[in-house]
Amino acid sequence: MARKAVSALFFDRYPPYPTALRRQCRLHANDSGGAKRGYGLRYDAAIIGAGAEGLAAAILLGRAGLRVLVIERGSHAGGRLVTREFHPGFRASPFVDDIAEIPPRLFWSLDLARHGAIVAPPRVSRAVWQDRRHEIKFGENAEAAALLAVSARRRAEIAARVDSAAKTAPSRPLFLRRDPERWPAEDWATATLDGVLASAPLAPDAAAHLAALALSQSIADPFLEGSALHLLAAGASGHRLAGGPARLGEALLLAAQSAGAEFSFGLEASDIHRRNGRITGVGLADGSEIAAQTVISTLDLKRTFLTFFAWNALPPPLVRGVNAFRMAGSTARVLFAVARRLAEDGPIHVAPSLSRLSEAFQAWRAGVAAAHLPVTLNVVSARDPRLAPPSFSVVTATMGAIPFRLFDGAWTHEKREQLRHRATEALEFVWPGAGGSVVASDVVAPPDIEEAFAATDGDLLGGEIAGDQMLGAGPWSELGPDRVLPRTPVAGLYLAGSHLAAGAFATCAAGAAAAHALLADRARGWLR
Amino acid sequence: MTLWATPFHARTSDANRHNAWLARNGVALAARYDSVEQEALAARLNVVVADISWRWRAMFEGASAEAFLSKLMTRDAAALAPGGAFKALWLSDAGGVRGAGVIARRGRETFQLTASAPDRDWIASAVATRNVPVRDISRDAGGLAVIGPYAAATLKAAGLEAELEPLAFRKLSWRGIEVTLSRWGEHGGTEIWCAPDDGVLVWDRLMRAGAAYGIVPAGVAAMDVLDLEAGVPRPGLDYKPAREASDAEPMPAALGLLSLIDEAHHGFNGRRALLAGRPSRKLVGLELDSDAPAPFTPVLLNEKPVGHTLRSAYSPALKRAIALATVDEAAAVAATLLSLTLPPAMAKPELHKAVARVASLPFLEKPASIDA
Amino acid sequence: MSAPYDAVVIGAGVNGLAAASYLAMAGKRVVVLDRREAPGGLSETAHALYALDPSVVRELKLARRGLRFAVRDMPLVGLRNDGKHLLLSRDAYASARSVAVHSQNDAKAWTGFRRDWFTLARAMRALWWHAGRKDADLAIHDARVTHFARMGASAWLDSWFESDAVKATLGFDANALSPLAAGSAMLLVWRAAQEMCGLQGAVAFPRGGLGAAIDAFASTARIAGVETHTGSAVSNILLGRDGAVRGVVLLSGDVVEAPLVLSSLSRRRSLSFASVRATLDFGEAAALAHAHAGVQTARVTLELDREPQIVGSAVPARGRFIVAERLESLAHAHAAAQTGRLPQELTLEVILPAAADPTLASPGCHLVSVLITPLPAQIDGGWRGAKALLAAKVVAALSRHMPGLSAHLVGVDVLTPDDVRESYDADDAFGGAVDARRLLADWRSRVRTPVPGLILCGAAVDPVGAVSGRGGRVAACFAFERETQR
Repeated sequence: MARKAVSALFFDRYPPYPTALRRQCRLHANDSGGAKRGYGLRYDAAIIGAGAEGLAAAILLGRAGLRVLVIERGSHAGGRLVTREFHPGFRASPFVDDIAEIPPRLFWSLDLARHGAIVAPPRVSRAVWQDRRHEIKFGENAEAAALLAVSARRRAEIAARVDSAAKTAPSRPLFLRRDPERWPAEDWATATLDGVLASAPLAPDAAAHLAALALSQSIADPFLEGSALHLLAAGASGHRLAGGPARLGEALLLAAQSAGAEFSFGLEASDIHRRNGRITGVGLADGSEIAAQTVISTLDLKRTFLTFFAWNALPPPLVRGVNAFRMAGSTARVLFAVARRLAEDGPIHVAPSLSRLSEAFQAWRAGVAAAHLPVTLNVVSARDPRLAPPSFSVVTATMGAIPFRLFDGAWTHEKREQLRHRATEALEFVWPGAGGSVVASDVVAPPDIEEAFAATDGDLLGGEIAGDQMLGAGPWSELGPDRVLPRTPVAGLYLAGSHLAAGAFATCAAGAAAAHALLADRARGWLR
Repeated sequence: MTLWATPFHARTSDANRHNAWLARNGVALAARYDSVEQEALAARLNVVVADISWRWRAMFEGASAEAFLSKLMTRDAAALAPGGAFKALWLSDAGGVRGAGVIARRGRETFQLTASAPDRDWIASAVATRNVPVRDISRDAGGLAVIGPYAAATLKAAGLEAELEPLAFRKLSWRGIEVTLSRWGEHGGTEIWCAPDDGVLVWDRLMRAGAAYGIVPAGVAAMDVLDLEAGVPRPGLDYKPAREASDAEPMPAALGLLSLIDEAHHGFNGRRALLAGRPSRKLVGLELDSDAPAPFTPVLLNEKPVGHTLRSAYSPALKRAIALATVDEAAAVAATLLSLTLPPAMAKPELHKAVARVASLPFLEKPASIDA
Repeated sequence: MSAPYDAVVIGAGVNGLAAASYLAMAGKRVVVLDRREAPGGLSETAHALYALDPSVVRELKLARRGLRFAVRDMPLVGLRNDGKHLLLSRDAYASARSVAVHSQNDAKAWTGFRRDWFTLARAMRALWWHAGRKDADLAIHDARVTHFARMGASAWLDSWFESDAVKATLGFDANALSPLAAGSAMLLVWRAAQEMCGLQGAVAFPRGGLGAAIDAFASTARIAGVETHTGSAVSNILLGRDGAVRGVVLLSGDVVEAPLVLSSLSRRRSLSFASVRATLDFGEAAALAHAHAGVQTARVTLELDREPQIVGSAVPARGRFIVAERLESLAHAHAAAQTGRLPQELTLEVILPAAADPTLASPGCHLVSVLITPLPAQIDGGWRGAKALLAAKVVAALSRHMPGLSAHLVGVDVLTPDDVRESYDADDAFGGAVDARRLLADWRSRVRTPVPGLILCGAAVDPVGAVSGRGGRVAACFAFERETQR
């Protein structure tokens, strides 16, 4: 069995239990509720959050022979990979239409294809302006192919680098805090998006299209230094599955269950208990405790540290670093049920010019939604006919540059209506007449995203895309390159949120990196 | 040698933007219409239509046809009722595989053999002794395979409402033309056979019906990838079929085709040699740790050679290169890690080792049908 | 001009004169050419000195040539709209008290921040000051430096402070880049790495104004034996058959021959001479075409008939006054400048020369020197038309803190970005666009050009262009190095 073969590579070193306790453990070996009632059965790892990252970590840890419990506060697994019926007969995924690519190696080792997840890469992307259109066919030698290829290669290199850094157990602190190797895409961390697009020989339409692709899930001012890093996102997402993103969630769940992971649904994790600098368990919302040696948290950095620990339990530099971590939630979605059969495959970007994007950024910072917003429309029912009845369509609109905190107060009903109106305008712009054929619509505003996933500021990417928050730099990177995410200064805690070390542009990679880091640290006997 | 254009050639050549053609069994076929990966994935996500007119078909008629076929095939043709079909092999005298195909009983004394590769001369000489007239009817009909989760829905939308069991076939009248529907393929789809003159009409009707489900045409290369993912070895691509009477290779066990042999059927050609039994290798699937395929490459377990790969291709669904391989029993355990040497490539101009994981066949299950 | 010369220096600014002086002191025959009628160059767009290299001051013996300082350490004052002005000086207690008015937490954080900041700045000197030192490599590879190079000033300041007063006042000095841009934190570190009059991070006012400093440089050059020709604009560089430099061609048609040409123009302009452009490779030529100018600076000098009075909390008159309300004002100003619009809220640096140096004071004539950054390079209707508007906005912004300003206004002198470009033949006051890559690049890459014999010696050589003389010194080092190699 794969499990045995792989676990033979690592030798487990459990702390020695007294004999009586060991006997008691064996007695309760088949009682999955035992650990919950604190009978002395410890899980080797508790994973908070049963989204793509948490399940990927559960699969890898389960296969390595660890006892894993996945704690999910919702009623089912999958995280943002869900499909919801927002109107009778019309279904759509409220948060993401497609996923960022799963690194092929990881896809293979998680064995997802066999559990039913067939993932197709993005085929085509279109940008629409007043009087013209532009199309990019991925994989063909299109205009923007060179830059897209560079971006794809850098994404792969970054994921590989994060994974190998995770697998290398940290050595003793070096005399000089050196990070000898440059990270891929380092030059983009201090370049402007406008500059990079200008220096690659691109026609202006292709450049605007690429900028729209790069900023489809985040926000930046294309004229500011550091905005070129968003190019890593161009072409990253758009991978679709048979059956929508929910199918990936199901496949991951099946694989995790067959790897032996256990699940706890319905209760929220409320804090992480520690004693003598070691993690002893996770406290749940109903007061019970799950005894665990290590914790992998798939919530974002801020939420993990500020929720699970008391403010005075963490060293001040860590608290300051976490507080200084910047989130940049900027997306809102509107789901439309349209009484027209629309057959356009692939996302359609209503792309404003670069200077309008810059204005949208300034407005977003001030808490206002600008007049010209980047909107991406996606006819999800064209790829998956089950989502809508015949001769109807489901169209999703993803709007960028939507501030989480509005300058004039909370997200009231009126504000949501304004969002709906803006999205309907975009729909009308691309398909004249479709605006009138809208049967129903559903607004997913930033606060909804925050509530659904405990994503601070409604930021699904886990933080602002900036060079000082990713690529080896982070809130505690001054402690040395061995503290790069997924490891944290808290012994036994690993972060696997869609944070920016690996996760923003790759699905499941962050969870895999956290699992690898955990296994590497275990193998070395917790040398930190 | 001139190649035969299939009845759908007018449409396939229009759709073949890249002008990528290949010849199989003397038929000109589109290798790919868009990209192999897109088509192979579309077969698992939506629905595809593939031109399978290259399959070799032979018709056996007459009173002694049943007896002949029982002697020829590894399953008993006498047990077939009219309208039924089975899949079987036919072997050389020494027990080597000569071919695999579907025998369909079209009438009391009429049998049709559909196979991937022809074996005309040997069968012609065999029937000469038995006085069974055999006709090559490959050019008499064109065939399209409709494969994918929405295949059934597409056919329903086109008006072909036959609820067919696997391996069944039926002749229908479809809005003015005669077609035969069958389910002989390995991918869970349905085949439509029609007269050459009706080819374009059938194509158009199917494409129109499947437009709502994202139908695309699939070329031969994509179908070969699907075959590979289903773990089906093909003569001429994976193995050289036995051609001499004394050829004992390839053995059915080594090709994983033992399921096509009926133990209880006595008297088929080569049975004695088969029962004499020899240790044989097994057919396994290998998932390679690379994107580059490695066909016909020796594989090693702990530095000892234990077999070799057959056909290999990149599988877009598994995101790996996969291969069929015949390996010794010891190495044929699932999840074993074998190693093989990849040939130099442009990016890596040296021999380099890759790891392959043994997987049980099929790599992927047939795409489950969705009722739309 | 009598040939042969050993070197020609284009530009008689501080850097050009320094380079010429070094070469002349080593025995070379050097001639300095400047298109304007008097030496000084871009230093006329500055009104205080903060980046003068101590090695240059020492080696060129500028003190003996008349470089004295009226104020060694001008305190930093942030003028706030609510009158509670912020005073940040070398006196830690006074600074903390002043900060405490705005935020107690910030007062507590001030000492720690300054220590952190200045320590990192000193560590970075290995890279910025000493050309070619081995530990420069170490400095670059430190994880902390990498982190800083990618951080925006606003992110860094936000992590230490909460009050707008402190953040905006400190953040103004990183104004070559928007505070949101990656690399602007490094700009603040660069400012703190400078040393004036032995004090780290100080801003000094020379006695007699910057004119006196220029005179010191000019007299050093003269005494060293440098020939300075003003009113001679260079129109092209002569290249020999092997592509090496043979001399320069003046606008008047005269030819000055020399095997070495040091140019204080920006990289873009130096490589834009017709003969040089023809020898560039495609990649370099494309990079040149895409090189864009950085933010522009304008200087407005107001002449008053009465000493200006600043209302609000007491602040020393010999300070450096920053008018910037919030970091967002700086960010908005940069965004506006990017799109070619005048910022709604101008961000200013103000100095009262008479208060700093009493010898400059004359009865009935009190000057207020204002630097405005960032400004767009091109503006709708041209800068000529916008001069008056700019002056009016400056007066309006200052009137808030110096009431009755317009009533006592006698004269206004505006140096717009267009004037800077035309008269000084410069893209901007910083020697070209500033970004983190330029800040961390090896100095050789900033000095060298693809043409053998042509080296840069101006503001483009410094990580951020300023009145420093370091560019000239580094260029001279490079020239000597090249010579010993041959």
